[in-house]
Amino acid sequence: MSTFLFCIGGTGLRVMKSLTMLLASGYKACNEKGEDEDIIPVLIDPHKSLDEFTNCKKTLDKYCEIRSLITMGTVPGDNFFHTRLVSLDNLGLNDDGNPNFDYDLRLDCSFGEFIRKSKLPTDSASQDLINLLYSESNINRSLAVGFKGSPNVGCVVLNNFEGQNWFQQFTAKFGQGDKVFIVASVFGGTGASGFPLLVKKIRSCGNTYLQNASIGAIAVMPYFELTPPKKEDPNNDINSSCFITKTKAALSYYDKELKVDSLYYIADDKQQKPYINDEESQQNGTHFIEFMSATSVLHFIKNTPANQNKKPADRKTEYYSICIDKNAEVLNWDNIGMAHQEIIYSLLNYYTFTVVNDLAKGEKDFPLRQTSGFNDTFYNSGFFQLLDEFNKDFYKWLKELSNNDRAFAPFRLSENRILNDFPLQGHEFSNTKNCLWTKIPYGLSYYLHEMILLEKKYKKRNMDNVYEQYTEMMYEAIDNINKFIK
Amino acid sequence: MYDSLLELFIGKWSDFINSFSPDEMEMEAAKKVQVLFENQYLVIGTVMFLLVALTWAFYYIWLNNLPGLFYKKKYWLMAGFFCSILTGIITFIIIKFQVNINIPFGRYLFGIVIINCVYSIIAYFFFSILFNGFTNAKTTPFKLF
Repeated sequence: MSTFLFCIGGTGLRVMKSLTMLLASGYKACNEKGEDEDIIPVLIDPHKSLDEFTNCKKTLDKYCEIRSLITMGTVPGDNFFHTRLVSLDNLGLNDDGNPNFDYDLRLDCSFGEFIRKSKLPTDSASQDLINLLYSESNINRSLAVGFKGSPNVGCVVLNNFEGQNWFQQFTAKFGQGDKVFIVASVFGGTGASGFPLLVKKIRSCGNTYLQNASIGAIAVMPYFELTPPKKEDPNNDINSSCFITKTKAALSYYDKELKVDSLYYIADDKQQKPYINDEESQQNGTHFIEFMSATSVLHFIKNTPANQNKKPADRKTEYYSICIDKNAEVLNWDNIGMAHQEIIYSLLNYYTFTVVNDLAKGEKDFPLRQTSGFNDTFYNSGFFQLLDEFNKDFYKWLKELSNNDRAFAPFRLSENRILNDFPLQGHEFSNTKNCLWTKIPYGLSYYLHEMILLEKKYKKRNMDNVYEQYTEMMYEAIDNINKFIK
Repeated sequence: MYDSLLELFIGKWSDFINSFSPDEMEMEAAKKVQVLFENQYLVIGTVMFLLVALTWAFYYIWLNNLPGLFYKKKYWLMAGFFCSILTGIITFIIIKFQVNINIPFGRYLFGIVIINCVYSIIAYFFFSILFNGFTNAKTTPFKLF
């Protein structure tokens, strides 16, 4: 069973990146029956030069490569990178390597050229209608940088995706028991326009399973502000003061026209320091709302059944909003709410893994170097180069979350990759062991010792894949040590 | 095993006894020292083996079942070192109490202490390589099995 996850626009990409990090931590995407669900991300954004797009794609590529080396096409146990993220191209194949998440939606023309405005006779009714609906800057703007917060442009440009290769693949590969989830912001251009269009295209396509499929979506409402656009930059016409108006317009349209099975809402008004208004680069750090939005995907997979008894038009939409326990400026384990603690626990374990993995490489006397083959050759393999790159991204992602406004900072992040304190902010390790008259301080030794104790069990399993053995042992060892916090 | 090494490194017992001649009383006392020493070889050997076994158990069974990176060679060496020191101290105490004769036999006392220390190190090494495969410890130094 699979969930096709459409991430539309900049916010969609950011949510996808957060979801990838969460899945890397071993958090499972399980359906209502408790079975593992594959996720097929489809990234829709015409703004291909955007760093965020490249980052998201690279993160996905690394995830798939790492996971394919860990699983080698087999069903994984409880482990990091447990959930399968697979590209549309690789769906149906047993190989997740070399995924392609890039569907070329880039348009190197202006909106006026796209609709061939110049071909219309001047003084015609069509010209007048276009001039009524679109401003001069709408018409002249290059589509290569997206729709710049103009859903009226986006809904025209994106309206032709039936002809696109990715949509054809999607309709051809969607089967019984599969679901669809859409992530989009409703206060911008690409997401706000792409979301309703996609739902309509799905409901009217030729695949019966897809027509009747369970569809979920998250409407990400304003969660940040931008500095006012500069007067000297006439092309920059994104103004965050319009976000609420745009959101209201979008929601009222969705309310009447859009039929989905589960609709999630999320927003935040806590930001004190606005982002710099630069549509070209959009170099804003990861935001807590993007991370929370990612959790809605997993909630949908778990709670919305794939097979519905009624036709889509007769089904009722379930509405969800994502809440936190306390309206604090800095969110952590204690104030975020119990519902989210399981997710933080997963991230805690993966963060611990990144540090333990780094430190274990330098432990020359670690017995498993000899007995399980975790030696220098093993640590210098391509797998670890990939993993190290991914872990750097993971650290950066956590750092951005903790530095943003509102901050999500549940961990003590160590730049120097040391493990002297339990990484969960505000909590001490309570399971310290005594040795003669002293306590053994919390640190690397607890995890490595747990691995030593687990080795016998793993040896009995005769695992051929040493990467799977290593990551699974680490996963179990870290869980055994960290679970006191739950 | 103790006697031959004592005679090799410290000196022959006969030389030790003759060193007190012509004083017959002291020569008799020196002979008694030799006999008392010989009577303690089994005791100090047993004590040495017991201490080695205890140290082995302490290191391989107890310490290696704790976190704290005790699998590192330095901890194995430290355990061996303390075992050796403890063996020396206990050997000294046993000889001092059991050989209660009022003539100077310090060189032999020193010799027997050092020999027992060295034996304990050798025994600890062999215990380690022979028996560490039977424990849960995964410590690596000189592992045979």
